[in-house]
Amino acid sequence: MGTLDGMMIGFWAALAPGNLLMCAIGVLTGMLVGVLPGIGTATAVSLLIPITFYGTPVGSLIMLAGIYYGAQYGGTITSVLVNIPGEASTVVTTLDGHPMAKKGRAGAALTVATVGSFFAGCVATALIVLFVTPLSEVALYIAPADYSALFVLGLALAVTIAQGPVLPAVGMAVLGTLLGLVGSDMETGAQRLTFGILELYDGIDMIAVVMGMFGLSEILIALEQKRGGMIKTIGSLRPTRQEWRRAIPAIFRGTALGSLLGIIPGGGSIISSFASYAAEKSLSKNPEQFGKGAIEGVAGPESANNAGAQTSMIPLLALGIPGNVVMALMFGALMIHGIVPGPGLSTKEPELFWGFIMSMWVGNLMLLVLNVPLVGMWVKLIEVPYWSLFPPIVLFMAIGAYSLSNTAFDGIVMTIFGVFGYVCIKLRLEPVPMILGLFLGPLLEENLRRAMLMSRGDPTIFFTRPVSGSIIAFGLIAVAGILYLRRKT
Amino acid sequence: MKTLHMRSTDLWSGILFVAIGAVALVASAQNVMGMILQMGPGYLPRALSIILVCLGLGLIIRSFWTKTSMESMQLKTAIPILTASVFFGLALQSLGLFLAATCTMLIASLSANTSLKKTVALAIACATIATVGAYALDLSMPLFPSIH
Repeated sequence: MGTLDGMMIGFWAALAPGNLLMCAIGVLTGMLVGVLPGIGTATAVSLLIPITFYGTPVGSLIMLAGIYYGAQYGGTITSVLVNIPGEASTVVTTLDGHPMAKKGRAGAALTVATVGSFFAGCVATALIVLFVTPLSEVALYIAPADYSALFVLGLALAVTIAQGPVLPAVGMAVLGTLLGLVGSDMETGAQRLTFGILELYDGIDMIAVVMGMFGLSEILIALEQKRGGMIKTIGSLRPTRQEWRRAIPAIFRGTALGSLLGIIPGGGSIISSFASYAAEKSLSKNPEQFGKGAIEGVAGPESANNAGAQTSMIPLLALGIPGNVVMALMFGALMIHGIVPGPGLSTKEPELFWGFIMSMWVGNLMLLVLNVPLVGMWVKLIEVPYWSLFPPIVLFMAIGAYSLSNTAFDGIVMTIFGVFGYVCIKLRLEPVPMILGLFLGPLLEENLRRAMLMSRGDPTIFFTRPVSGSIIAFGLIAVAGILYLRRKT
Repeated sequence: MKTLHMRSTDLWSGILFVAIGAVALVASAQNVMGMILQMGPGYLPRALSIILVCLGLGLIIRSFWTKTSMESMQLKTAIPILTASVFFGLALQSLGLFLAATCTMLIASLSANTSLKKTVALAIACATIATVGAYALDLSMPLFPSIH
């Protein structure tokens, strides 16, 4: 089946009333989550997964994806108006977005960010259409040794890209992989690291861990912080011609950079926005304006984070490898419906596959139309005091954790990882490599075992096979390059 | 030679990694190790635990040179929320969703200083929404306490 046929099937699937509704629910939830500081996308996605048990697979996927890219739009509003990032991927937007708001140009900043995000979203969707099918054909030639190398590459990049220091992040990745091995061994059925606890025989539920490490610990941290004042004058929504002239090239550059960084395992929206800000600042003729309200510093990162959020779905759809936490959660949601993401998905489930991709266009269009008109409503929501927000979030997380296995056990897992996540934040340990390790651990072990059987126990196979060899070479160069750049800045 | 810095993030991260790695190493000792050609269930867990312990030791040694300090932890705000999130699962079967949800909200609210009236109103409102939602979605949860 050709790409065009697929796109047609996808459009019809995405425009079906039920799916359209799911898309709207997803993007609106995403915007809401984005606007509210103290709830991240990973938390929101993990919270809504139990609800997807009751929906169709395609509807669930459309909704969860909508949350992820919807949050990239919503997060901007809080960053610009309150100087608090609504979302981790809009942290850099505060640097220039808030100074713009102080000058009365909040409306212009929001418009540029929305238009930039929309453009980036459209380009990223086109890239997904173009690349997923050829990539999933390549996947047929990937052997267990190559998969092992790819998983290790993903972990290595997640570690080097992480915000905090590198050595502790390596520890987190190792710890996560170790936790991923808890439970019955796939080959022999032996119990590993279960300490005789019956509920652990199936392994640790990743969704409960994400709820704890991201959801609960975010609430604990948010309660410790005080909020700043908000700027209520939004000003004209229309950027001046000169502002457009400076913003448009930044939007193009941000889109290109974000699309590229989203595809890399370990990448996604957060790293894309930081990289784009750094790029805009170093390319600018007057870098001294950055931090004082340079519109490029809003346009670039805002386009980049949305592009990165969407292209990070390419490895998931084409190879079945999630590159970040939200993708791992979406993988989990599909598995619950008995669908395995990866090569073959487009032929086995064309409606789901193409419907999902096409829904991103629909969703971005909704966001373009909704974002600016709804600013007034979101502003009111930012003013909702936190005391009335966090108890319901705790309750709905507790209900969600309970419904994962209908026992109290996952609630306890969530709480333990909530404490652990809180300690990690205090110790500046990155949670992302750990979650990826938790997810990739069992897959890595399975492929390592197969690779070693096939090579008769010869570990040099990783370097001599062309595919895994080039993955390792690419990984070494990328890690060295990123570490060099980190040292420089 | 620098002195030991008691609030160092590296020191405590290191201790955390060594502790977890050591426990995992002991626990995985009962699994068959196997060899590289045919890895047993204990192969990777043991290898990873050893790496984790080594990384932890490295961090402890490094803490003599690094200066990043830990932020203080505020247990007063943390404990009610953590209690609430465990409480719900344990209480659900006996109390039913409505009461368990109300109590969970009330416990969590202890983290913030708000008036009792507002807290109770919010708790009952959210518990009602949750109960109606669970009824509509037909979740397998008891909604109200059973009278046996």
